[in-house]
Amino acid sequence: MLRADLPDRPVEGALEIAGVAAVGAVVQSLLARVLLEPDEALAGLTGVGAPSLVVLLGPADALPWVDGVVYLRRCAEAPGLLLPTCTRASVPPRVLLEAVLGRHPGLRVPIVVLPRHEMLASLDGACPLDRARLEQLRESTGA
Amino acid sequence: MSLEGSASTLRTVIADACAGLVQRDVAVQLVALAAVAREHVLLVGPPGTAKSEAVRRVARGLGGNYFEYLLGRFTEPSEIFGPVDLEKLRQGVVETRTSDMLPEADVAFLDEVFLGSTAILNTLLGVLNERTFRRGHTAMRCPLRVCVGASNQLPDDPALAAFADRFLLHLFLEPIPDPELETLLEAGWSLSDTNAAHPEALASLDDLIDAARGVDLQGVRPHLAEGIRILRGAGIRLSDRRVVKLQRLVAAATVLDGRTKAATDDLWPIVFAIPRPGDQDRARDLLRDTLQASRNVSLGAAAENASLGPRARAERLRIAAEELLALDPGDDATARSRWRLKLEGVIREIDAAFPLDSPPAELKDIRPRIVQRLAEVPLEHAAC
Repeated sequence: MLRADLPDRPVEGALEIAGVAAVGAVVQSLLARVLLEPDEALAGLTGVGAPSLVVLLGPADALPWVDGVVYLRRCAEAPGLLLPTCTRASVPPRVLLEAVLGRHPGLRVPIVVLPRHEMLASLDGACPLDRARLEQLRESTGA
Repeated sequence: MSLEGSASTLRTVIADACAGLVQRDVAVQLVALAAVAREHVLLVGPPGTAKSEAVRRVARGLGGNYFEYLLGRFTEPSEIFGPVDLEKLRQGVVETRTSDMLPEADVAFLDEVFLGSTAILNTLLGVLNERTFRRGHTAMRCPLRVCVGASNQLPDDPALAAFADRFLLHLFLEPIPDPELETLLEAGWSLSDTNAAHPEALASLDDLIDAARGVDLQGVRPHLAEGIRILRGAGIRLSDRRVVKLQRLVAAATVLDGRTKAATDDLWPIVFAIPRPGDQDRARDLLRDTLQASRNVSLGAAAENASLGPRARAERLRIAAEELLALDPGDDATARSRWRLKLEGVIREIDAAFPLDSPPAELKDIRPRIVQRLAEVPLEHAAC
């Protein structure tokens, strides 16, 4: 139901990128890529990570690219909700956010919803990237 | 020269003029559009927003005579149009010596244009409307291709507002936003003022002006009329003069895209013919469907700015990608890294702006080429 209500369409108007997400096998690639950045660039990004999902937040130009990542936008109408940039909710974003929080009362905003991967996660614990922790996470994904 | 050849020459002039400017490519492109349409541009924005630099760069690229002046309340007509010829005056003839002055310019820039006196503005009207300079016994045809006026704000005085209406294109500029400040600092430090004149540029411009007169607009007139109706329905009124002259802008956009038959791709200039900034913003929203197909290979940034449309964005990204893919990053590590980051920036925007499983036609082939090229040129580990 989530996928049917959140179709993907080309972005019209200003493209505002707030973050990037990697799911599954792409996590390794994203971690490998971001670890090539100097420490001061890492410090400009925040993120949350798990072996199956990594989300990085920061200015668009500072977000790395690897094949398969999903770029995220913050919904202007509901800043606690991040969606893929091409995803357009057929309901008002704040309604969507309330519905998600209603189903998952333990989640804290901001929240990222990835409809194609049927995943959502809280970004409440996002913290500045730390090289050592990124290396640990990379090892835990089996890279 | 063929239409495509002339359009290609102008494309080079535009691209060279844009190089090094931050977020002023729309201004440069609108000056080029106005020149082909034989219309004029009004740039409105605070001081120091590169209004004059954008025009200078277009003028340099075109070659020819360029005239620039900062008007004030006490500016004399002779400072703009030339002094009276004293020799002739002794003979009882009032003639103006126009050498190196506006009447002989191919491109003109008048800063603080609304501060000009009535005498200046009245004479200027003839130059803008009819390309004719008349003063005393002097009457001459002016070679003026485009005049760009600049001002900090639109005038409140109705008489000056009428003069402002002679500038068909209006562009409202803001200072560079905070996220782009580093880019501005770097670009400003290394900005070169020597973009060279293209030897064929003025001739190409004249070819395009002639070609624009012959563009087939029949197919788009209903769409244009519908767009005007939509705007009127929302209370955005354009004078009949503007409505008719819009066709010149559409025709100019058509030839700058290398065609002689207008299509819905070319309707986007309508947004810039709206005189007020708030109305331009509303128009972008109101005309979202009408301008959905907007794109232009020479004026991509302007088409995208006007239409908010994915097609224009796709075209711009395709051009940017092709340019980068054509470059050899070389052996220098810093140059390779910079080139790679630019290419990553392009594919980042592609992946963010378009669904991966349904890319637009313009990007279908280019995305895999970018992915492959990035794999061939790995990023070096940055020093910690």
